[in-house]
This record gives sequence, C-alpha cells and structure tokens, in this order.
Amino acid sequence: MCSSAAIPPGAAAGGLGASGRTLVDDPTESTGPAARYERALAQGTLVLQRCRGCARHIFHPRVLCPHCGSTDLETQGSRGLGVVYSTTIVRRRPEQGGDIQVALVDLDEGVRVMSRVEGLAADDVKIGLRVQAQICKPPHRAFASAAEAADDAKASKASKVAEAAEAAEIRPLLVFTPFEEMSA
Amino acid sequence: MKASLRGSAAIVGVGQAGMGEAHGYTEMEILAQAANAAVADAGLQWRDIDGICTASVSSPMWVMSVIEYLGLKPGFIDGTMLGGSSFIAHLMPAMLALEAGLCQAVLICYGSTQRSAVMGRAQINAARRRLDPQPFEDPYQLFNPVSSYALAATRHMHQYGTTREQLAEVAVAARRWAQLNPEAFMRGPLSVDDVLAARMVSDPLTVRDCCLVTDGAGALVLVRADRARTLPQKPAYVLGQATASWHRQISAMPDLCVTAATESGRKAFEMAGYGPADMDQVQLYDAFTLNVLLFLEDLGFCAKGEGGDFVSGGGIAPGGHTVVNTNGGGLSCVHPGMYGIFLLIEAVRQLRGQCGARQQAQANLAVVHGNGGTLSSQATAVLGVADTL
Repeated sequence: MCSSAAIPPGAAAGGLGASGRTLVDDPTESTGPAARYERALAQGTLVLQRCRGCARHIFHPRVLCPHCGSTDLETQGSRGLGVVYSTTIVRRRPEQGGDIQVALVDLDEGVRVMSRVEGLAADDVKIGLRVQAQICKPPHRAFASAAEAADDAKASKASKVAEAAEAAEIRPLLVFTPFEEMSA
Repeated sequence: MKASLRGSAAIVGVGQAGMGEAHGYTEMEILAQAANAAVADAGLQWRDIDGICTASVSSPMWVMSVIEYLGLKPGFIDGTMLGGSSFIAHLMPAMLALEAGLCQAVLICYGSTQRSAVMGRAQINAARRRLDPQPFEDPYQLFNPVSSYALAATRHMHQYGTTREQLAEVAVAARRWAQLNPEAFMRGPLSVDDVLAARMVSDPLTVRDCCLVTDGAGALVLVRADRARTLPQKPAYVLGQATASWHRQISAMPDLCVTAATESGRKAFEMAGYGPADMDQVQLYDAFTLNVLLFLEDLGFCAKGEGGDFVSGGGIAPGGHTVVNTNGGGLSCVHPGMYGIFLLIEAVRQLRGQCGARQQAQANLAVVHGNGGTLSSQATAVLGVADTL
C-alpha cells in the first residue's frame, strides 16, 4: 500500500483539490498543462481543467479543449469524488509483484481517469462503487515493480533501470478509496 | 468520389510465410517470403510492384527498411501505423493512389517473429513504455493490451448480462474452425469449461480468451479492377472500405461497449451498397473473445448487448447461423502481434474457393473488420467477387 496524502478534516465538503481559487490557464506560462497537473498533484491537490467555451471538464490535461477546440481553459480543484466505471485484476505471480487491481473511475465532473481502488479486496471492487481520490506521495510502488524491473533488466542496462525507477518514484500517484459518507 | 472508388481495385495475389514458428528466420525474411508468394500468386513480377504499405510493432521507419530489403522504388508509400487494423486501413489510400495513377500495383505486407525472436513481446513492451509513454495509464501497471480489453469485458458483462461462458463460446468456435485448417497453430480440443478453467490473465479474461502469440507474415497485391481481370486469380474486389479512430488509451474511450466500428462499418457498407445480412462470410479481428461480440454488435449483425446470445450454442462455429473467422482467427490460427492482413487473406481465399475443408459453398461477399490498439482503431472492408460489383 502506498501512503496517502493527508486530507484535512472537512476537506471532503470542500473537496480534495478545493483551494478556493480558479486559475485561468495562461498560455505564456513557462510550463504546460501536463506539468502543472503533476505539480498540483505533488502538492496534494487534484486539479481538473474546465473549458470556458463549452463548460465541459477535460482529462487528461491539454492546451485546448478536445470537445470544442477552445483554448480558453481554466483549472479548478476537484472534490475527487467518483464512481467505478469498470475494473479488472491483473494476475501476476508473487515474484512479479502479485495481483494488482486497475479501475476506471468516472469523476463527478464528468471525466474518466485510470486508477486503482485501495482499502478493499480487489475482488470487492465493483462497478458503481462510490470512491474518493487520494494522492500517494512518493515513494510508492507504481511503475517500479519487480516485474517491470525484471522486464527491463532483460532489455536494458541495469543503470538505465535504476534511472527510470528513480524518475518514476518521484511522481505522485492518484488512487481511490471507498467513499464513506460519514467521514464527509 | 466513393461511388467511383467502389470496386475500382481488387486483391489479385496473397501470400503467407513463417506461420506459427519461424525459427532461425527474421521478421523481414518471412515478410519477404510472404511478399514473394503474393507477387507470384498475382502472376506479376517484382518489377511490377510500385506501391508499398506496411507497418511494424517496433520500428517507426519500417516502411523504408522494407523498401530497401525488397529493392523497391515505389511511387506510392504508406507506413500508417494504426495497430492490427493497419493493413485493412491501407486499402483506402492504396485504392486512391491506384485511381490517381501514382502506381500500378500495391504490395501490402507484414511480418513478425514475436514468438521465436530474442527480443520478444515483454522486451518490446518495456521498450515501448520508454519511447511511447502513456503517463496517465502506465503507473497503474495494467498488463496491456489484455487489461484494457478486460476493462471493456467487465463493463459489457455488467451492462448487458454477458457471461464468461458466452465469451468462451467465441474461443471454442474459433478452435472448431481451426480444426478444419491445416495452417492453424492450435487445433487440439477446446471446451467452454477449458476456457473458463484456464489461467486468469486479467479478470474476466483467461489465457484462452486471448489471442495467440505466434510468428507469421502475410502479404497481398492490389491492382486496378481493369488490370485485375487480366491476371490469373479470381479478383477480390474492394467494394467498400472505411477506417475510424476516436481514442488511443482505453481510459479515453467514451463508452467501452461501443467501438468506432459503428462508424467504419456503416461507411464501408454504405460505400459497398450491401448490409450485414448480405454477407456470406464475416472475418473479425478476435484479439480477445470480447472483440467478436463488440464487432458483431457494432457492425449490425445483432443489436447492442446481444452479442453474447448471438454466439451462444455454436452460433458462429462451423455449421452455425453465421460464418465467422473461418481460419480459426487470432485465437487459434495465427497472431503475430498484428493480425489484420490475415483477415484479408482468409476472405480472399474463401472468395476464390481455396479453403479446403473449411470452404463455404457460397462465399461471394465478405466483411473484413480489423481492430488496433486498445479498441482504438477500427477498419472495415467489404470484398466481393465479380458478380457482386
């Protein structure tokens, strides 16, 4: 299990990413929307873009709206609440890191993200389950599994593997846990 | 434009090589063997080939490597890479090029030794994650492509009550067809229970819900219809073709139960002037059992959600109500990373009446449907004999 970002009490009412601010994407910024998303995640905040042209939310982050083509986008904190749209369990031998659950989650804002649901047995993650976003701070095991390392070791030099694993390790990871109304 | 393109070109030569296991041969070598067989089958010489379409799972500049190896100086080149559907998608630009006079004979070809090669699938996948990262999916360690299709299967089961037994029926039907095909890689007995009891790869798909990992190469030659009539083989006219793609990653697919085959199929049938009910044979890209259900639904052979019932009780097995994947498919015949070219080859052989024990008495109209990526690209072609023009 990865460690979750601390969510302050009452945060669910305002939302995981609610900062009270809406940032209008500035094309002159020195980093693009993907880097800004990563940066917010690293700071414990889930943000989503919303198109001011067609009022729809966007994921993954982009420089223009895939629905209407507008570049007039704003970035908002997300409450991080959603519903499991589909789920699978990747079956792996223990030496490959063991079974791992993968889910597609539909956020209330109307966008879908790939993730996984923690805090439940993989078999108990069902379509329709109400879930709440958590942000895993590094170090987490994503991308640097034994299986991946073994794969890579065959194809590449050990130093390259270590380098890639290190780069992957520092990325925060969006995961979900079952949403409990009482905690809200 | 499309009306004039309908039937304007025909497949006049097909060839295969290295089917199953091609120990000691490179993928380029078996590709060249298949291409050579296709050119000979067409009754042409290498100097006649002046157009080329190909794609590779691992090499971005593959088309130039093929040009070099075969010694071509083509007037038309297409290296579009849409995954397994590529070779069916290549038909349209090739037809346009033939019609525009850019070239006189197009070779469409593919080869892979992913089963026997030193750099196998696991290594290619690892390298790909570096060269072509999917940063919003890769960290979750899904086992692609299986897990993406598994997510779609879970959803289809939830939404329409599709069962694992119904998915297994697709694998069993493919095996029964393969038993009629001496070229098929897996021909042993297979039951629904065998499929259900096989090793789970990514729930709900077991290893028997997944296509084979084999070697193999396939090639075909496309010429204008007027020239096709002068060549030795019975021409397989391209009556309709369309390609559609709406996403790359499975997490970006709007509805996991509805593919872009709804668009490519509608357009291809419209161009051909035929519908699903007219088809004598149906060749569908069965990378996973679920795919066959999705494509039967999306191409209009049954209503959305009814794919499971459609395939039940041997519906698509030999002797069933619909003739589907007569070579044994990617599930039991051959699947060297990308399978689309083999769908076309099987359809052409059926149209010509060259399929031996699995030959259909009436096989004059075929729909051939290819899929690529993670349900990401969909390419449909309608092929027919001269009487269907």
